[in-house]
Amino acid sequence: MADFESSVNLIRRAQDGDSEALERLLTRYLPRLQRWASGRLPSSARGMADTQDLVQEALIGTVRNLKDFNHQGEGALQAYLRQAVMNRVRDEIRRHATRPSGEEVVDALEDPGPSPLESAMGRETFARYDKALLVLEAMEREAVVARLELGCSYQEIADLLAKPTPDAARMVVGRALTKLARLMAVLRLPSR
Amino acid sequence: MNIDETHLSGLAAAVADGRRVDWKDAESSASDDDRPVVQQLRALAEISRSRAMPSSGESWGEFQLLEQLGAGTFGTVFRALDERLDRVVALKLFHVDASPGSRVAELAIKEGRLLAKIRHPNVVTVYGAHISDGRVGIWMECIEGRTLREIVNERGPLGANEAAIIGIDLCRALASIHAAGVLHRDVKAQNVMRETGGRIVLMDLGAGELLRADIRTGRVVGSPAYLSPEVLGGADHSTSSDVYALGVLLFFLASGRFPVEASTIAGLREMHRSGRRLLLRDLRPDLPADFILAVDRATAVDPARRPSTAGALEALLASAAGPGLSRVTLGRRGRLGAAAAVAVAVILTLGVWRWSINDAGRTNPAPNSMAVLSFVPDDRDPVGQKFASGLADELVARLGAVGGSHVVSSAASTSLSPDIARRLGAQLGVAYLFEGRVSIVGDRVRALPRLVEARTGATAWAQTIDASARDLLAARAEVSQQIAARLREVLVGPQLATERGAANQDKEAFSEYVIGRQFWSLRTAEGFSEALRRFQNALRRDTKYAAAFAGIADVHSLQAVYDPDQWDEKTNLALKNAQQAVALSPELAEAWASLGYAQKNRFDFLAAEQSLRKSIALYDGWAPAHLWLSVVLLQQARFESAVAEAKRAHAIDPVSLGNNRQLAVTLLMSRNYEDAIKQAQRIQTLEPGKPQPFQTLSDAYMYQGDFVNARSAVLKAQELSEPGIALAPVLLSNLAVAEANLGRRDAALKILHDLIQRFEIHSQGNAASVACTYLALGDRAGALNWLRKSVAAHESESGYLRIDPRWDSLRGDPEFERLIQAVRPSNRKPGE
Repeated sequence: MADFESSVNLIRRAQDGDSEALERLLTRYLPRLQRWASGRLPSSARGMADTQDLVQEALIGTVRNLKDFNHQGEGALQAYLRQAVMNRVRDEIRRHATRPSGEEVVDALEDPGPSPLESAMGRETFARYDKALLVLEAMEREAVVARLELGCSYQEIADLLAKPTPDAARMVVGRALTKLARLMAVLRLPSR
Repeated sequence: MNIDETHLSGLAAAVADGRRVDWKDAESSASDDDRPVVQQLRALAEISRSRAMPSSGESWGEFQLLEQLGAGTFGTVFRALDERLDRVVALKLFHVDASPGSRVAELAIKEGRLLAKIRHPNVVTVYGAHISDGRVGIWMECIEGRTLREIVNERGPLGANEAAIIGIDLCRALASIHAAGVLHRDVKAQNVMRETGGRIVLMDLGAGELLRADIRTGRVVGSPAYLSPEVLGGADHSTSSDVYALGVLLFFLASGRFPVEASTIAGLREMHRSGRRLLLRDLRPDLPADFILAVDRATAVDPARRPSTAGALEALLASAAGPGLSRVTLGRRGRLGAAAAVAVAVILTLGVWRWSINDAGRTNPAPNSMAVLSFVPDDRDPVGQKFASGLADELVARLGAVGGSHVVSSAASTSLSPDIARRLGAQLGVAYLFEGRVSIVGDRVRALPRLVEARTGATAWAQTIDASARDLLAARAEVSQQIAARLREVLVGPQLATERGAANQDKEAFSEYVIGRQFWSLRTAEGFSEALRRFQNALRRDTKYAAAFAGIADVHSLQAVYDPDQWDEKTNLALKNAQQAVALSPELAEAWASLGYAQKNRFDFLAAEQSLRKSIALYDGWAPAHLWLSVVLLQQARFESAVAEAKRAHAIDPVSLGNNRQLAVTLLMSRNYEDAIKQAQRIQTLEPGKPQPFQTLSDAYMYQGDFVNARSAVLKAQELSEPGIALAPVLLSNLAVAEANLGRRDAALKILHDLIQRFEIHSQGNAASVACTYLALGDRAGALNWLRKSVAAHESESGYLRIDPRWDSLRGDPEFERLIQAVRPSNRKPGE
């Protein structure tokens, strides 16, 4: 499992053009980011361009542009990468979704449809979940995403959150889930 | 910590661990305050459950998951690529968690090995089983077709003959499974597929032991209506309970009902106990007694009264499928009357017709419409019967592969006297009737197909076709291919490679081509690359396969349209391949259509139109030719013809979204705003809840000057769009135009700023939308400037500059006219 210092170090080296460092960063983060993105992107959007490639390009772009990330720990770094990659992927999808009407192109305008997570939970519940996540403390949020969306083991989560044991990580996840469920139960969603 | 808190923490821990929770119980035992929280925990559990299963695009072991085919209680089935063998398979991943070394894991391997030993044409071939990523997976041959349940739901109950023949296949399938020492445990209509070619395949093996291992206490495996009374009572599954389930399946095929129906397991048990069950002879008194007897025996409450093996049931069914069948009662089919009961399938060979849509065709039959009647075996032996019925089915499948086909009814056959032919033709609304006889003598199959003109009863075509009887499946395929090809030639002349190719083409190449076309029609990046792969496979088998070249051309053409960055490269490739296709097979409709579309993408409208018209002259039923001709005509402002072609494409395939949308756009551009609005509303019914039709609506309202409705249509589209995904620039610019015209310049300016930023900074978005917004704000110079960018970027709006109503106020401006010329270098023949 990645330790934070080495991640920051690898990012610096990658920015200096060290391709081996970039390779190692990709090995470290790419599978999880791809998995996460696959739950969050509507399937038809993923049909548009190969998500795997899209996420990889976005991650490389993010790593190259990352400045001074040196004080918040591995969990926060992963959260940051996730958000940055998602923004880039979304941009890309929008670029493809903004084709005008006319002949064959009209197909591209189709509503991309729900993401797998939305399908599983329902659109409204997913919106509730997504919003409540933002209200959680950063560490709790990472714990929930890592466990539920990425399927990380407790050992991996312990490494990610700098917890001494898998059991400690399990406690964090459990508490975060209780808090999340309470938030979801009371959260008001804007009526659309 | 109070009790409730402990309760919640326990549930949260279970969710975190991915353990199973009895949510009903958890909710009912929670306090009123906590119940909503428990409900949210349950929603969270859904996340880990759904994420635990890999999704398409990911891998499992050596398999690349291509597409999810279905998901059930116990597992999810994917179309997957076995990367080691480069073979597409159906991969079933079970929900059960199986870490290596566990009992479930061992059982999986054991059962997989057993299943892989079963080789039978009517049983799905299992290739292997494996544990990877903590998940059990079984992979097997990928079957393309429909389930018996879909078929019955769509067509209604089958005739006794067809049901019995399917039953015989399934008995043999079950016998081979039982012989391998395996029980199926879940025989049901949803688990039997009929392949496009007619083969009946029993699916969903491997649910057996594996499932039982996961079932903790007292849970009943199987689908309730198919469960035998003893299994419902708690007994283990047995060969006899599989036979019972097959009996229920036959009952369902013949009636659409089940012998015992109730909404709960307890209800089913009670019905069995009190002996209240439906009788097939009450539901279908027209069925032959032998068939009813066979089903009654198989579904007997007392296992001792059932046929002791699947083979014994087969023997009963075979006698039912014998001479008894000719006694099928005519007239049970209601309005169609006695004679119509012999009809098996009505097909419009042009593929333009759908049963529900064009009933008018009955009184005035289309010149190429035809009903396929059963083949009659010369003698009554079950092998001949089965061969004949399968042949008719396969022929129907082949002829219906491209257009719509509809199976009307199935029953016995008769020989067509001129009088019967006339009556049948009138009742079915077809111009031709097809019948045939088959005989199997020694190692030869002989088929005598005959095409009869319904109006006169005269024979239009007849031929003798011989094949080797050594492999009856192969013989059936060969005979039906030859007949289908000849029928096409007689009825419509040169036609599509999708059918004609079958007769003289390498079978593998042909099949790759047909599959490629299906992927192509998905219109997604993945679809295109898979289609390309399939067409290339076809070419590897047959380097002179014109249709495959045409398919490759069409992939490139559409890729150019979807991604203008690659316009020149893809268009050139398309042109090259289309030319190759035409050179190889100048009589092939698809080849000319592909050439025409590639030429259109080069803006060579004159040549494009000629090629597309040539394609239509060769064969009128290839919808893309009409669709593309409509585009070519539209871009030349030949509105009336463009609308006519769009309507023709729509008539050929009225449920295709692409055809519907093209019709809407054509109406819009032709300034038929009322009709465009109606068409947009029709699309809404095709894809309810989707934002796309609202764009057409907002365009139509905007062009009419109804900015209030134009604005609300945009807002409606926004409401239906994915949260977090910004509106398409085209819609945003419509909003800006509406705001500007409703006196809210500030709002319009803000949108303009946003659109420009998107284009300049984020390199997304589209220049034509910026131009349109400038125009609404009264800045013609700004509009023209951005239109130049749009043309330079090959945005597809540029093809519509000449006709799009949104530029009407620029018409006549020399700069604007110059831009139009810049787009269409070789269009030298405007107007009709």
